[in-house]
Amino acid sequence: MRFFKNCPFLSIIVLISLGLFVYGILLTAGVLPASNTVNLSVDPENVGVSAAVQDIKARFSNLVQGVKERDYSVDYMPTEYVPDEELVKDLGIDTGKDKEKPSEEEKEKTDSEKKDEEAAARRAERSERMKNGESDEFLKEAFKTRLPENDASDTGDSYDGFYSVGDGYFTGGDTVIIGDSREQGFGMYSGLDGIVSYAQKSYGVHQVFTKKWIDSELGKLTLEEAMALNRGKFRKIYIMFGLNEMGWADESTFDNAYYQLIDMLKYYQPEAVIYVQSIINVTKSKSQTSNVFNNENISRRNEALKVVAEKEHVAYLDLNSVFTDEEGNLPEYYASDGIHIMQKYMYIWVDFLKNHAVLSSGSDTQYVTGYTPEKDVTDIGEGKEAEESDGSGGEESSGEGSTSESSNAVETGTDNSVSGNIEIEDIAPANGENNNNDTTTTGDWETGEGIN
Amino acid sequence: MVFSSLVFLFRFMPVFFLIYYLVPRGAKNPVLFIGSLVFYAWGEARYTILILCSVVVNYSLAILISRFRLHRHRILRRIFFIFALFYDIGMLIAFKYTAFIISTLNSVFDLELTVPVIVLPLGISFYTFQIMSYVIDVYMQRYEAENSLLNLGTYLIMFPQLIAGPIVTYSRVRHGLRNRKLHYSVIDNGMKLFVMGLGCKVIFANSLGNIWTGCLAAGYGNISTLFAWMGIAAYTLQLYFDFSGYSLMAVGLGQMLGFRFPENFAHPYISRSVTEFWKRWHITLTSWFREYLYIPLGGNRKGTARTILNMLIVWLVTGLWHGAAWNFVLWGLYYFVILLIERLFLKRFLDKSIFFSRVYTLLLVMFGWVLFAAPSLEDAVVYFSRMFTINPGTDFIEYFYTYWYIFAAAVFFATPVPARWFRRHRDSALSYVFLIAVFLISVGILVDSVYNPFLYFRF
Repeated sequence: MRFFKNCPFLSIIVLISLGLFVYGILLTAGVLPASNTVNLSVDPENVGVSAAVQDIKARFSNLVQGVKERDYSVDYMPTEYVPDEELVKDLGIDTGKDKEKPSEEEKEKTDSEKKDEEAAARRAERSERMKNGESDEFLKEAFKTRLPENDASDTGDSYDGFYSVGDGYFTGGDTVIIGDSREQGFGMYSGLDGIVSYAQKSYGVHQVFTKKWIDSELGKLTLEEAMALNRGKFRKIYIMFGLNEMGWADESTFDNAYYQLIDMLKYYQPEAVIYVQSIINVTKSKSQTSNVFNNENISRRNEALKVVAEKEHVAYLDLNSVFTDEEGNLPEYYASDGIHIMQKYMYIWVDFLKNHAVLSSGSDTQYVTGYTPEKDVTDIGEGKEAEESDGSGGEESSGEGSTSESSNAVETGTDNSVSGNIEIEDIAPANGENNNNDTTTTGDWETGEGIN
Repeated sequence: MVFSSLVFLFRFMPVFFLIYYLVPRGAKNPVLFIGSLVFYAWGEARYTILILCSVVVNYSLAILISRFRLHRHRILRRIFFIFALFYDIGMLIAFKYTAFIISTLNSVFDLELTVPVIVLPLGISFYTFQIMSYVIDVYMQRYEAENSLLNLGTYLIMFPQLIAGPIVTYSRVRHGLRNRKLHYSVIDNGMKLFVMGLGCKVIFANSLGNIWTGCLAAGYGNISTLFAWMGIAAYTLQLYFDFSGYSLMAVGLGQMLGFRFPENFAHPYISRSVTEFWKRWHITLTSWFREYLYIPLGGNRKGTARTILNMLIVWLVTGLWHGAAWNFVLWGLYYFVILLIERLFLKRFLDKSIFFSRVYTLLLVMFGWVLFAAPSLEDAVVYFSRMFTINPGTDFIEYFYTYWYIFAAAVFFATPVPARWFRRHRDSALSYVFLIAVFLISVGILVDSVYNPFLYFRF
């Protein structure tokens, strides 16, 4: 007792820690209700305290921002997204109930106009292609994925094939990326202009409704608000979440949050193709040093993501098919910190997306350079690269693609495909030279406990 | 385990200190020894044997050196001494420099020897230097060899300074190991220092680290001029807060254990010359080199030519100590040249100026960090070229908006002003509120962020 009286500061710290510990125990034991936005993102090494701190932080930020709690605990029910009335009022956009009827009419009008335009464009393009002697089949394929009967409720696959596209697919201002720092890195270093980036360091899937950080003329917005404000603007949405959420104890929370995100996106961006990108694996050294952020856990999360994508009928992109080596690790030289892809290897990602596109509107067909009917045929990237740039061929390693099936791929676009892949040749030789240096020197004095 | 981890803060620290304070005086060293072993083995159990071997080997040899103190035994003495040095330096070279030496041999003689992949044992550079200071002091008959293996073991493996300094010489804690008194006020102050160090590390170093990681991720060849300057400025602050924060935590923990560890940093970025900078940066390392390398070599008492040679040796070794790569050697040489110029004539002018000399020092130190931080020599050259050519770009803007306030606060806290204020108002309510806030914010950040590297961890 005398000890505490004589060490006032130490005592305060001890009391705070003890309080956090007890609170955390009560939270994890379910005695006290935890904040829903947090869902006890429990670090397995440190059950009590981190749960408590997460909870307090969430409540505090909700209090400061005046945000309501969101419930991720209920089981998933498709398309249950309902916009918050207050949100609509706050933003002053016509998604509100009172304005619903006129706006719906208006929307339908524009929609039908758009459809007409698209149809015209389609016809024009079709005749153009017919003139060039290309098969009509190609265009049938092109729109197959957008047709309702093709939604394939029995198989769960709405996307039974991917197109190869050029830069134009991404640069029309209707592409948006959402995710954590790795996706942010993609936005910064992909070299594709005009992509809207809603990706931020340490952004989590549970924050899309609550975290106000997106700059706009109305002030800081949440992702939900930004989507409401830009209603119908986006045609391609790429999502990558999962690494920051690895520490969560309850994996179904992650899935539920992901479902709610996609439902929200579908509501505000009904025309958009939504891509769920797999969590990219980390390097071997990173994977070995962490019992949370290792590739085993990432693989498990990716399996869950695949299910999410299937249930939601959206595209799932397995980035690890091009990023990892035979052992399933990210090569050390791709990421100086074991996690974030370096700028000079970003082209791998870009190429992968270019070779795994789904068409969102008629105008997208102009960017198409090829088509692969199989879902995750990775050889398409390899085959092309081997053809076009010898320098970079050695870096891709995705052994297990099924070659016999991909030979069926419609190779319509071999002539046009140059447009989409020009950068590869520029970057590739430089990479070949630098690889060796990187592997030997990184990680010498930096332990790289880092993520985000 | 690192100090700025939740496991350390909320598991190791409470459990360890609870036991440490409860047990009677005689049991404190065993508790400290075992606790430190747990701390060390937490991350990397297999190299624990290495540090224990180091304790046993140096303990035995020091006893032998002490026994054969008579003049007629001087050859025997010398043999034991050389054997101890051989063992210590040999271990350091084997585990830290093997890959570097082999790859250098490969490139020079065009050989194709396989370069082994050796994981550096945690803190080997630090504890090797500590134990060497002990053996050298015993050989020089500055004090008797330690008779208790436990005391020497506790000294070497004591967890506060185990993995990243400060380098505590045995002479400093010799008496404390046998008999130390715990004062409430010192314990309480130790906790304050620890929280301050934690804040330096978590609030400043970790977030500023993102800017430098950004430069690295972008690829040095792609960044704009302003981003290059911003990146190295961020790294300059990051490294300082990272390392000085760690040292401060170590000093704080030392006080909580009842030891007085030396200060390792004294606001190095306000120095008015590079010479002064090295008296303020990583002080325990600099003084180790002075004490155990520069002065035994003859220091500055054997003529100008010999002084210059001695400086060259010291700075080559200093460079190599920081990392087994050529850019660290170059980094050492860089400081050798600057310090030589300052010694010969420049320092006199620098001492007269107040503003210019600080800008001069800061710039030179920043350029030094480019060499230090770049993954390879080629990268450093590329980085310099980005700094000194005009490359317009907007890549820095996002980082600027995200981190400008951290930047501003970090610059302020790198000056002696806050420290001076704290020393005067140690027990005021305001400093309590401030430190509790620092603690809470740090914990809040730690819970979320997984970016928590220690730059000086692998030394």
